[in-house]
Parts: sequence; structure tokens; C-alpha cells
Amino acid sequence: MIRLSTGRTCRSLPALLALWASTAALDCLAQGKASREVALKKAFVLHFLSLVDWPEDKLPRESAELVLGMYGFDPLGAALHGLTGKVVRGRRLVVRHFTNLEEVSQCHALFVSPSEQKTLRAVFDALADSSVLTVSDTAGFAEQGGVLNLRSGQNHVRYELNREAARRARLTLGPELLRLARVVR
Amino acid sequence: MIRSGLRPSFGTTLASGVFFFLALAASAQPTTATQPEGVTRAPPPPEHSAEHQQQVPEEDFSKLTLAQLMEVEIVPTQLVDTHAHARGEVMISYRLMTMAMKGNRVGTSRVEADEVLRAFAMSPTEMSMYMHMLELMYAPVDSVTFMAMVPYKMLSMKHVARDPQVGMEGHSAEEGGFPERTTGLGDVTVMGLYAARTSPWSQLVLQGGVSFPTGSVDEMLGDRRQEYMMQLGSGSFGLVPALAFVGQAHPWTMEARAQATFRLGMNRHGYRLGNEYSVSALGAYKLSRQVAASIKAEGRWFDGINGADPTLDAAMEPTMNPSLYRGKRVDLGFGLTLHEGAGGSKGRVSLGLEAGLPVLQQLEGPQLEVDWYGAVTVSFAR
Repeated sequence: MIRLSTGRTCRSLPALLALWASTAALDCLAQGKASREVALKKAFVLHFLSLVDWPEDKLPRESAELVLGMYGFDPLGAALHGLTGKVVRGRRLVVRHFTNLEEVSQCHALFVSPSEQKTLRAVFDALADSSVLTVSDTAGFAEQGGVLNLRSGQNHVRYELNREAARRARLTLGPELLRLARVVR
Repeated sequence: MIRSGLRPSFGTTLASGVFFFLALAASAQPTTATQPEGVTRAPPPPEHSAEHQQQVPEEDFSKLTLAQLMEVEIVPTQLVDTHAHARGEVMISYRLMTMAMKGNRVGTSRVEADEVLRAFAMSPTEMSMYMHMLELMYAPVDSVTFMAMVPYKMLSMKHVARDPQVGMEGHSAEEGGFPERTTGLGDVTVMGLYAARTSPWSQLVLQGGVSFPTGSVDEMLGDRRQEYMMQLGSGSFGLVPALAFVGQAHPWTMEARAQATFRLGMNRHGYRLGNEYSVSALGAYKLSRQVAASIKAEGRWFDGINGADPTLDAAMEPTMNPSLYRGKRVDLGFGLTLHEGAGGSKGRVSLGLEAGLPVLQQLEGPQLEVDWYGAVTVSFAR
């Protein structure tokens, strides 16, 4: 006679496996702030800085520092702090976090966090005639007057360009930056 | 007499699956800080500080050109089977799968062929399956991908008989049993994948498919039809729904997946293959830009066959008994994926190797038990 075992272990195993996998996944995904997308966008911002020329009165040839400002908070903004000390076209990158709009014109490039979407108008007003490269990853940023805007779609990162805003800020954009951008104005 | 006490525990399984997906979905919520309106802001909270960021290893893309950056996938979905492709992307892949089965099992216990032969005139001793699978994927829009899977099967099985004279074509039990072989097209499956939710760190994919009865159910051995598991197809249409969650947190990619195959209606020989259910969890770890290793646990449940082929004598051999196809199995698999190319217009080539073995089998048998399985996959996406 052949007897079949009851297999109680078998019945509880799927639950144990699911519990284990859930815990592992939670642990992994909780670290989303260091996600691939953030790392990708960080690299984009670094490229932007190296592919833009500022007017001499904003960034003198002998200047040893390039100031990247940040306004607002989000994981990408926090990650951009990691660019401190990088050398961009011979200049040391300095990352500063601004809390007051009256000060943001002191930087050469300003990353505006999505948390500031409702105050974009005020940001752009504060930067009028200041030759600051504005960068964000906020829907509608470039359409509203920002120069470069990172967007995610089709599982890739893309960027939008407002040429009009760049011209107003007297910024000269490199050909590679122009060629790959989605021009919104 | 063979007694079976197999009782599927679908309640536990379902609860586990629901918990699993809810936990994953909840964990995938993007962490976005909300701030009050106004022009003055407090300093960044500690968890957003650069120091905190550095605690988590981050992929470095700084050496890529701007054009290369635009080709990098946010979620490196080539590490898992289930994913929605980007609009316009076409993927073609070829997969060679093999599975080796040797020896019989009843419940979780192995049984010798001699024991099986006390209840049946013949006993299967081993079976091998090779399947060439051609997969085609096309994404007309970002959120929807269509997929067709065309299998070509090569099956072989060996038996022993209680009476050595039963051996066919001159193969007796002493010679290792007589072999059976079938080769041909299996059931073609057409599926649609819908990315119900996509975030920078995750994709929730709903999948629905139809299995077409393109595989033969008329394979013969001499003047009798071969047993159910040696037929190349099911003989009936099937529905194949699935739900998958893909999460990414560098350098890990996680996939949780639940799938079922519901057979619709009896085939022309008066039977319907049993429904199948599976849940799996996969973790892939990116060792370098081109290489990833993975580990996968998968639980499968098989229902018994409904109805019976009247030409098959259920008392002759376990494989001819439609009630002896029910069971459960938990597999543990290991994989290695090598890929080259950033995708998009430049294309991406992947080579995947996978091997695994069951860590648990509970079969309403006697049934052939699985010893190991393996797969080699080559794919090209553009």
C-alpha cells in the first residue's frame, strides 16, 4: 500500500515564502530615494551644467566656482548635494540650498523642486534678468518659463527646453543639448 | 491500493498573495516631501541630506554622454520576464527550456517502480521535456504590450511493465523500459500586458491571454493514443490571467507574479486539462552594467484532469489516470542575465541562463517527480 503524507509543511510554505519576499521587497523599495531615476537625473543635471555657457558678467572666465542652487525639497534635490566638489569645465561645483527667493539670483543654475510648483511664478520673477539656468523635474516647468525640465516617460528620462527662456537669460546652449531636447518654446 | 490525502490550501495561498502584492504596492509609493507654500523654507530634513543619500549605493551615470543617458531605462526591466515595453519597441526572443523527471512520488514521498507496479500494469520511470519557445512582443503604446508565444515541444518518456512481455518494439523492462516520443507544435498563447501603474521604482502589470489549442492531442503509440502528459497540446482554449509587480531599488530588481491558466471546455477526446496556478517572487541583483544574477521561488498548483480519454485505460498506468495529475510544487531557481546595449534605437541583446530544482513536491500520485529544469534565453529588443 502506498500512503500519501499529509504535507502540512507544504501548506504553510507559500505563506512563509510570501512573507519573506514581502519583507525583502519592503526593505529594498524603502530605499527609493536613491533610485535609478534620481541617479539618472543627477547625471543629466551635471551634463546640463557642462553644456551651457553663461555671459561673462554672470560667470567671469577667471571664476573658479560654479554655484548650483536648490530651492525646495525632494529626493533629487537632496541627491544633487552629492555633486559638490565636482569639476565642471575647470570650475569647482558648489551646491547651495536657498530658503529665500531674494537670494536665488546669486547662483548660476537653480534646481527648483517639484514641491515649488505652485510658486513657480514667484521664482521666475525673482530670477528675471539674472542669467540663471533654471532646471526642474516639474510638469509644465518649461512651458511656464523654466529653461530645462527633466521628464520621465517610456521608461526613460527626457528633457524639455524653453529656448525663449534661455535666450532671455542670455545663456548659450551647446549643440548636443539643443539636439536632444524636446523644445517646448 | 493507493490512497491520496492531498488537500489544496488555496485560502492560505490567496491570503499570502494578496498580502504580498499589497505590501509591495504600498512600499512603492514615491517619497515626496510636501512643503507649505511661501518663499521661505526650513533647512532640508535629515533624511534628505547628502549624508543620508550616501548610505545607499547609487548607480553612477556620470561617465555616460547625454545621448547615452537618454537610452538608459529607468527600471531595467530586462532582468525580469514580465514588463511593459516602451512604445514602438519590438522584442523577439528564443528560449530553450528543458525539464528532467525521474522516479515517482506519492504525496511528498518517493516510491519505487516496483511499488507502482503493484497497483498498475506499467509505471513511468523517467521523462524529459525540451521546449523551443519563440516569443514576440510589440508595444503599440507605452502602457500596452502584446505578446505571442509559440512553443515547439519534444517529449520523451520511459516505462517499465509488470510483465516484461508488455514491452513494445522489442524493449523489455530489463532493457530499461520502452520509450515514447512526441514532437511538434504546442499550444500557442497570445497575451496582452497592461502597465496599470508605473512609477520611477515600479510597474504593476496586468496581463491577460488566450491559449489556443494548436498543439496535437492525437499523438499515437502504435494503435493507441499516448497518455495525457505526452500529448503536445491541451485540445481546448484557455484563459491566462496574470498580475505582476516589478519594483526596482538599485542594484535590486524584484518581481512578484501570480498567474493562472483556466482551461475552457472539453476537448474532442472528452477531457479537459486541469487549471494551473502559480505565484512567484524573483530578486535580481545587478552585478555590473551588463550582468545580473537572480534567484526565484515559485509555487505551482495543478488541478486534476476533468473527464477522461475513453481510449486510455486508467488502470494500465498512472499517467493514463486523469485523477493523478493533481499536485503542488515549489521550485527554487537561479539565473544569470547578460545584456548588451542601452535599448531604444540601438537595440538591446540579452542572454539569460536559468536552472532550478523543486524544493518541495506534493503529488497526487504515483506521478513522475521533477528533478531539475533549465532554460537558455536569447532576446533582442529594439
